[in-house]
Amino acid sequence: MNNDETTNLPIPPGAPADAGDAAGVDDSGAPPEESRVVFASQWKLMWWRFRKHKLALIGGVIMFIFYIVAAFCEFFAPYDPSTRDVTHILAPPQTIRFVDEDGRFHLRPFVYGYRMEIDSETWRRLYTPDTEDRRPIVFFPRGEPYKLWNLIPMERRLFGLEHGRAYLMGTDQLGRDVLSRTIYGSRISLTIGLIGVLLTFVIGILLGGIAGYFGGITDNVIQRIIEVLICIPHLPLWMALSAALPGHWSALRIYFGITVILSFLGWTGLARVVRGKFLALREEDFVVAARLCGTHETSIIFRHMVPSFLSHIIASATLAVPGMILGETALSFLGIGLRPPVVSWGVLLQQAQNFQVLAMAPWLMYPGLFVIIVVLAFNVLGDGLRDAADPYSD
Amino acid sequence: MKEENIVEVEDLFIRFYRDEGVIKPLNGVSLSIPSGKSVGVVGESGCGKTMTAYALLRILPRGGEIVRGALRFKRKNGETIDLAQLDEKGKTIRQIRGGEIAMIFQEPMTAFSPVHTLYNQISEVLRIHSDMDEEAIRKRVVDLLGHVGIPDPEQRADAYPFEFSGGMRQRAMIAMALASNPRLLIADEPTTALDVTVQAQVLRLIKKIQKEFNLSLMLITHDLGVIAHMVDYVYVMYMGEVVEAAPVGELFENPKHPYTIDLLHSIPKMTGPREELAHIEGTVPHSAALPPGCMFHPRCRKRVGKTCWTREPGMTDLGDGHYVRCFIHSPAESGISRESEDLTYA
Amino acid sequence: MVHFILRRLMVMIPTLVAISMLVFFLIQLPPGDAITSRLAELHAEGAEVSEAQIAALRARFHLDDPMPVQYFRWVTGFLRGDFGYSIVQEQPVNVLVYDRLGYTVLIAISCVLFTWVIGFPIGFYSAIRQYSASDYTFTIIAFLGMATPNFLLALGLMYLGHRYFGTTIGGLFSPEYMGEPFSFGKFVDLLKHLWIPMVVVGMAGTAGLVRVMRANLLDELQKPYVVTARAKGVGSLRLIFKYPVRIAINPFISTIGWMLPMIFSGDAIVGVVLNLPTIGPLLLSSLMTQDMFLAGSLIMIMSTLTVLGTLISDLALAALDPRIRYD
Ligand SMILES: Nc1ncnc2c1ncn2[C@@H]1O[C@H](COP(=O)(O)OP(=O)(O)O)[C@@H](O)[C@H]1O
Ligand code: SF4
Ligand SMILES: [Mg+2]
Repeated sequence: MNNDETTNLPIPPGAPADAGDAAGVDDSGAPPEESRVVFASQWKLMWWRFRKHKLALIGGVIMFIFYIVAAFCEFFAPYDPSTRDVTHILAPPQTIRFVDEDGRFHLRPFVYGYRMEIDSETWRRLYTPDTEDRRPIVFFPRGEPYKLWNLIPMERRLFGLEHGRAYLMGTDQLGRDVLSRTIYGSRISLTIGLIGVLLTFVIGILLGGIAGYFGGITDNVIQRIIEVLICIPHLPLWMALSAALPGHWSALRIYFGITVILSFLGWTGLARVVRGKFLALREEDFVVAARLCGTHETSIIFRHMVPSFLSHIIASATLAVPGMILGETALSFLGIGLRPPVVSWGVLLQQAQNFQVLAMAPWLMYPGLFVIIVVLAFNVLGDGLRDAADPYSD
Repeated sequence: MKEENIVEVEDLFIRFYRDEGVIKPLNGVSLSIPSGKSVGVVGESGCGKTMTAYALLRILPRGGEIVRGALRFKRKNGETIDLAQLDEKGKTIRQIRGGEIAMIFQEPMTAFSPVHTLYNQISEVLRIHSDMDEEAIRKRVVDLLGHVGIPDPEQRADAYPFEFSGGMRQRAMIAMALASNPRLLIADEPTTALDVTVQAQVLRLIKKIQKEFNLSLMLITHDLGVIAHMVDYVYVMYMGEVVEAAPVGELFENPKHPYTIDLLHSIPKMTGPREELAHIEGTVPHSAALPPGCMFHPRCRKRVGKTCWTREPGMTDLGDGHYVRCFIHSPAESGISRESEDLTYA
Repeated sequence: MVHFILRRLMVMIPTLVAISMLVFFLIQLPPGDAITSRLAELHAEGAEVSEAQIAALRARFHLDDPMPVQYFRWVTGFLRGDFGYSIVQEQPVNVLVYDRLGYTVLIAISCVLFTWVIGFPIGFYSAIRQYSASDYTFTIIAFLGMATPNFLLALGLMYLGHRYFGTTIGGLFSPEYMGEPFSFGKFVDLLKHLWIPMVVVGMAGTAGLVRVMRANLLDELQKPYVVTARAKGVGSLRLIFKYPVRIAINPFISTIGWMLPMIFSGDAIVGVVLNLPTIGPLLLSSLMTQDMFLAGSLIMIMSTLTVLGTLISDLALAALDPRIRYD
């Protein structure tokens, strides 16, 4: 049956069966197709509602771009994140220009090289743009060879300079390119959010589902556990746990360790949502209504329950990702999350913790800008999804 | 406006302009309610009954617009005004709401604020629409509650809605509607949410107070069975249109519109096995285009041919106050080709 | 009602016991202990520490007792109001907490006030003007506020303060008032510094409040009882204040419970960044140095406050909502 896209209005039972002939007039053919009343499926309604949220759409697009960049960060970052350029310590960001000092326009964007002096009193390096030294930006240049995903050998990157190195977001205290490090950092920071939420998901749905499905003692025990966990302040718990990760672990294991720790507390919220949904769904009007109308069980489950359930879960999960990202950032910022040489946004921001350094090199806060953008994008996306998922909002 | 009428709705169109499309709940409704008489409005859920009532009070949901039509109402002071022309937030319409037109809602459970006492909510009507002092208000509210059959009204007045049964809540709702002596009472599915045994009591109560207070009554229901003993005249609605109108006896004995006939067949019989009620998908908005021609044709079992989906039937006067919108009862040429009509196909 | 409270308090006991065990266990998890940290500190100061001294320290804090015994000693201390002794700082936990509690509470309460005074009206306005230009503007600002980690905002403000006003804006007092007795001048100086943690910590909370208030109110506005009230002729402003606002507030009352621990500790990371004399940074440093009694007791106090706070908000909810019965 075509029970998802279009449906003819049902004919009330009990109406005269042969009413068409009863009028005794010619009933030439069936009425045209468009006279059917169109009913939208749950998913389609959700899509309509979601589409209304322009902000959420934008958030979705931004997230997509970020994850693409994170996936191919070796290609998008102009340099290796750990290469030091000792001639450019704490160099400020260069501006991308089209018009040079003499007012001439160049189709190919360029940056000016640095002129460096050492302040004789403070011994600080002072960088100024060297207007003599115009350095055009080239796309897909051949650079240091690298391996994409540690597998595929490549040597071209998205952009670079014909000669010398470009520092569009400046360099840090060791002369490393902040832009490249931020791009590499996105891989760690963004995936920690995803993997963390995935784990949270599994634990939350499992325990929440069990609690909601079995009820009784099982439900009670799980509820108590959740209660205990949410009463303990999160940050100290995270700190104690991450301090407990063995120091000799490899970067990768620490990374997974931190992810597990973040999920360890995160699942409680989701479990509550799942449990609540589970309990509520059984009572929900449309389910009861569908049942009363004799709609088949599987049809109830797939047309009404699954979409409503899934969409809520997706929305909750989307809204949970930023919490994970912020958690990692905070832990690493304090120096007890991920540690160098791993590059994550939190690790990068740790350099900005020292106010003396920050005062000299505010561009070290750039990774923070990316944190904000990503969290923002996730939040608006999740918000839109949640509104779309709720059949009772307009 | 005819002398005997208190309300005349004429050619009323309501639209919601939404991103996902235009929702068209009302498509040219016309009906009138004679003073002191009771009129029923029936039709399946989603056909626009509540929308018509909301339009009269000008409390359409956010985004709903009256795009055409008149809502003439005779006020207590004898003046006749077109409610459709009023400012939705203005003083006049606020005086009329609750003061001259009162409404009873379907869900006595949710129609009261859960965190205020009955007294608080009922007395509010008097505070808005009268200049009685606190003592007089108290007395009137308690009297009213007693009148609608709430036992021990002096104490119960200070109870919260959740402390009452559904039937009692609906009685309280009726008391609230009566508080400021309205002239017109709109009862929107007043018994749908109640137990069958309680339904009859509440209906009797409505009937009683209608007589007592000389109210005009607009009784909205999807259940023709409820209408039979309650009203003098019936309007049958389908997809935002009136498709048949007749005195109540005539309608039951001599239904003309195929839709009315189907509706009558779906009344649950008291004896014998209970038949399945019509399955109704009422919550899906009419965002798609309305069916062309007669809007009932996709479901109609008596279609007279192509005319039914190419031309729109007009109201035919069958005499004795019986009207019907169907080509079986009027020549095809009488239909209107609405191809160019902006509102129906907008 | 008394019965209800008593029963709730009874239920609290097993929860608190479970929390205390978990906390004690977690704090022991990291390798090393407070003595190691203390030693490192002493070494850094150039002091020579002999094996015998170490043993004496360990004995003094009973660090070589079996775990359960240590746990038991620690927990029973609470009942006597004794929260243990900070090994690293060489002071009783009570004293350390007492020193900082005043400023912590001052800052936290000003944050809460800031949050409510700003967040409420904006959320309200956004809801009744849904989809208007100002609603969109506030929504975007609120999202920005929620997306910015507190410590980043603190860093940014500190940088701006340094850059454009040439002042360091950390701490609660200017250097010249540090250690001075309290005076009017010092009070004014305090106010000058106070607004920064207030804004920094209050920002995310305000943003969250705006969103929740807006959502709740919109939710309530479409309830049938609002239609009933409109049909009675209630004016629109009065209608919103009497009915939906009254109910939309409920979810906030349930957050009062979560505020207690926050008021006790203040935002830890911001405390570190802004160099505030609050309990948050104390907690962080105790965790870093594995100062187990200090860390454990602070976490325990916060957890207990959370549990108590939840009870308080439940009581407040019950007082405001007649549907909730004490049973
Ligand atoms: N809040 C709303 N916004 C937009 N359209 C609505 C809204 N409420 C109802 N409608 C539309 O108006 C039509 C008529 O609804 P209603 O008058 O409530 O029907 P009923 O006859 O059951 O009282 C519905 O089919 C629906 O499509
Ligand atoms: S006009 Fe045609 S389709 Fe419409 S009700 Fe009459 S017979 Fe049926
Ligand atoms: Mg209705």
